[in-house]
Amino acid sequence: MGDRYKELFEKLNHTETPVGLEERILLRIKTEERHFSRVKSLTFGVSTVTSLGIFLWTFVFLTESLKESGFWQYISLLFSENGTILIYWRELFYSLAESLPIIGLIIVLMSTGFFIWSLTNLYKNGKYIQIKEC
Amino acid sequence: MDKNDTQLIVDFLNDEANSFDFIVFRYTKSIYNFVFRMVGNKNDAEDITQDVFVKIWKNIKKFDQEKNFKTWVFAIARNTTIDWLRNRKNVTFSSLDTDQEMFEETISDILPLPDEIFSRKELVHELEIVLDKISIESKTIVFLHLKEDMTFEEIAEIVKKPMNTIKSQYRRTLHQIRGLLRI
Repeated sequence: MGDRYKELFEKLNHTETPVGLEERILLRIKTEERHFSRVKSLTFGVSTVTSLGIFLWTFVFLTESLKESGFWQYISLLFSENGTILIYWRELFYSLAESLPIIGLIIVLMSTGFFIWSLTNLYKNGKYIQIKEC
Repeated sequence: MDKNDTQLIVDFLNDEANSFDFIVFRYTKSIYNFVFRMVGNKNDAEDITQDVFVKIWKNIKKFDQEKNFKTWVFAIARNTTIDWLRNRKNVTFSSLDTDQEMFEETISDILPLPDEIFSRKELVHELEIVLDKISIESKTIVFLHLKEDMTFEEIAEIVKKPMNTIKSQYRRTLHQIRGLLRI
């Protein structure tokens, strides 16, 4: 019974798609794509510079902490008195571990990770733009 | 050579050039027609169709590949059209709903289209006028079922309503169309 309705709807004129609509859609998507890429590049550019700054700052902070904690003195022992180290290696190991500025090290590792992540994304996005524009 | 939707989506997600172009070329005609039937204006239909494809492009990563792509595409088209109608024409929520006030009782069977109506020369034109008088929701259901050959299950997914509601709304709409064509 619904067949006549179907037939009627099939007769309903298929409105002609405007000429070049598909091309205009693709062009609009390309424009959006370019806009997103630019925003991404800007974001990753800013985060790369920021993370580099953070990395340098935390690195200075870490080296200062290492100096203050006497870590380098223990390290120098490692290369100077080989005989003593063989006997007291366990004590030296504990001293090294104790003098290690864990928090500073974690911060440096995190900022390094952030910097590498930003730089990789910046590079990937740049490469993507190059491919798309070719 | 003719890849199915899932293959095209996978290709697109793997950054394969032009795979999205095929999706655009495959769906533009039906989306444009669907939108045009809802808004009744060519320029607006073109703008909305462009918006629909931009949304598809932006959200394709979120598409669940276990589901039907056509249904997903039409759901985006429907939502974009409704949003557009609400924003531009100040259409109220109630006018987007069903024509329930006209059909309070449930119609169990689809009444046939009588010969005297079906044989009219201007019937297609009359139908176009009638379609302008029914709600967007009802129009969506009959259009997707009769023109796009979608099942009630697929339409229910698009409209986000239970399948039985869609079925009864479909029957009511056909009854309404029949009534309006008789006048």
